[in-house]
Amino acid sequence: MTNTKPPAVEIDAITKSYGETTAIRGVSMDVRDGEFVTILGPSGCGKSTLLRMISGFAEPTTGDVRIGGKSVVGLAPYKRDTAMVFQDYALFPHRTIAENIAFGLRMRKVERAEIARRVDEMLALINLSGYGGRRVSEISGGQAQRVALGRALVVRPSVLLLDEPLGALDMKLRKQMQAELKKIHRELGLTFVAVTHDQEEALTLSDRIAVMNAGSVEQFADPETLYRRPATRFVADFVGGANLIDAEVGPAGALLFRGLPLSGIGSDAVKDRAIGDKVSLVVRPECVATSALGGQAPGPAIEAMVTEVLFSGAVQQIVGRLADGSLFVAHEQGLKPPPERGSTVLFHWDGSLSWLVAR
Amino acid sequence: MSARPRSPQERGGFALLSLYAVLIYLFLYLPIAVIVLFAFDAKPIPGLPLDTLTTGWFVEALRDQKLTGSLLTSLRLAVVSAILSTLLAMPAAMVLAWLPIRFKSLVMAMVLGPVVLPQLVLGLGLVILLRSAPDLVGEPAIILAHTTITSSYATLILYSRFLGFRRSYIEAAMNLGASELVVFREVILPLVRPALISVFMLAFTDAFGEFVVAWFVAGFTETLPITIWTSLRQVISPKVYALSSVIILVTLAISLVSQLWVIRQTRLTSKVQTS
Repeated sequence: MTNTKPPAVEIDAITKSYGETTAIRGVSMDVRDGEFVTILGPSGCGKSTLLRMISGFAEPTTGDVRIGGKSVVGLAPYKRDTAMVFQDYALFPHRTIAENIAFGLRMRKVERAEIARRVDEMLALINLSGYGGRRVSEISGGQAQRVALGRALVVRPSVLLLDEPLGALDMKLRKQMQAELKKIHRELGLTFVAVTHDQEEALTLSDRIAVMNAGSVEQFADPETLYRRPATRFVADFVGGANLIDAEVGPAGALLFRGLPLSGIGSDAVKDRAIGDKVSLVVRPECVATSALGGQAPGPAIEAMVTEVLFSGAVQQIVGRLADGSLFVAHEQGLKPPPERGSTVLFHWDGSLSWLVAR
Repeated sequence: MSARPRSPQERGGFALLSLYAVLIYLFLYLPIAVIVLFAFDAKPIPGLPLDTLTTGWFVEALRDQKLTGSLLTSLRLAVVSAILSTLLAMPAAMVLAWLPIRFKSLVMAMVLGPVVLPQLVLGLGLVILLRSAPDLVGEPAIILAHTTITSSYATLILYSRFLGFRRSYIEAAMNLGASELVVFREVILPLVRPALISVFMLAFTDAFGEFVVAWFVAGFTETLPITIWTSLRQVISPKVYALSSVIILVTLAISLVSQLWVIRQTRLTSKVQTS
């Protein structure tokens, strides 16, 4: 063993059932010390339940949760060394900003002078020096978000949990807070575990992202891998948006779309698949270009009827409809003359930028 | 407010609404106004027209040992009943609002029982029950009866308050290291205090003025309503009007102050604004 430090959080084969329904089916995941991990998924995928199990507000039906190598299953929330930033912030309205931040320290019986010092320090860190005496009702949403963060951070938890931390903020404020959150994480070196349904936020903030769907983790990887090589059809679609061509592996390294081989697909693309496997070809819209029919495309290409051209300056979205009715999108630079709506054109891309996932 | 001139229809509607409001307030406050007015009538048997005014009845009322004695008894019993009923209602409301309960609507309906039950029935029932505990007749029985009546709606009022209580406050406190008891002391109690106080006040005024059930179980105890009712059989002394006027003014003042206080507290502890 070169590294003696146990993972900050270990989620070990957890399931959670409510009567007949299963909310979480066999999730395992390690969060390394000092890492920023985000659990990303649509609402109802079980991501919040997972977070509540780490904080102690829910218990797994089977499986184990370990914090710093010690099992915490059955341990009351107030005996766990986690601190949480709640979605609605849950700042105590009957207390001032400073009192809110001091709450966790008071519970830990920290000396009064020390509390005052650390609260001041925290107010400075969250850029709210001088706001300590304010009431919760007297500050803005963005400020409340920072107070919620400060109240959790000040106790120096071994894991900081964030439940949709930026969900209640408007777009501009959210961008600003993302940067701030990232900076604070880097400066303090604490372990952060966040939950969100916003893929862009997850990509920006996290060291690693666990994409959840219907109670299972579909992929747990760093943002680049998740975007460049999603492991499943769901991940490809949910993270970043992708063109998906539902196809079937044919004989002699061909990829069949509606029974006909797709042009330009090299046989090495299907080398690990068996004939008859149902797969989806994934390609990001920004990798796709359009050209007139009959031209010679350098790589893979597919015909589609242009249904929409959405021009937004630097980029224009060319939306096409494939023969099976599914949509196919190309993001092309705005200077290029777009194909006519209603015409059938060739959508093509570099073969090294597309890959197959099972379906 | 719009600066736009009102059309005749609108003006007519407004006049009608004003008239309606005036009538409602007359209906509500005329009996009270009459009592206050007669408290100042110099005649030993008050009545219209008022010839000479005096404040003498107030002094007389305070000198009347029977009257002041029953006033103090009523105050004491009402305070005890109100405290008991608030203490009983609070945990019940917490359980009803926060824990999953089977047959919840049935439980709620049964909690409401004493409110919808005719007081006569409750009184009779208590009389029968008290035959097996004759020692309780008097003050303990009155306290029991008033606690029963007031705790039922106290539970309902607090129930709706707890229903609207954000659970994330509790979770946030626990998450920061507060045990259940500390959460109750540091978070729940301060946040529901305005509701507790208004429930206490309501229970107090109700217990203070309740006559029917008290009459059944009072024995030789005389609460203020009992004393007043007894004196009704003879001529009502203006002293009663004087005392009633004082009670009315004090009650109105207290309820006004407490309402203002509750509103202020609610505003201070209202939700965080989101951006």
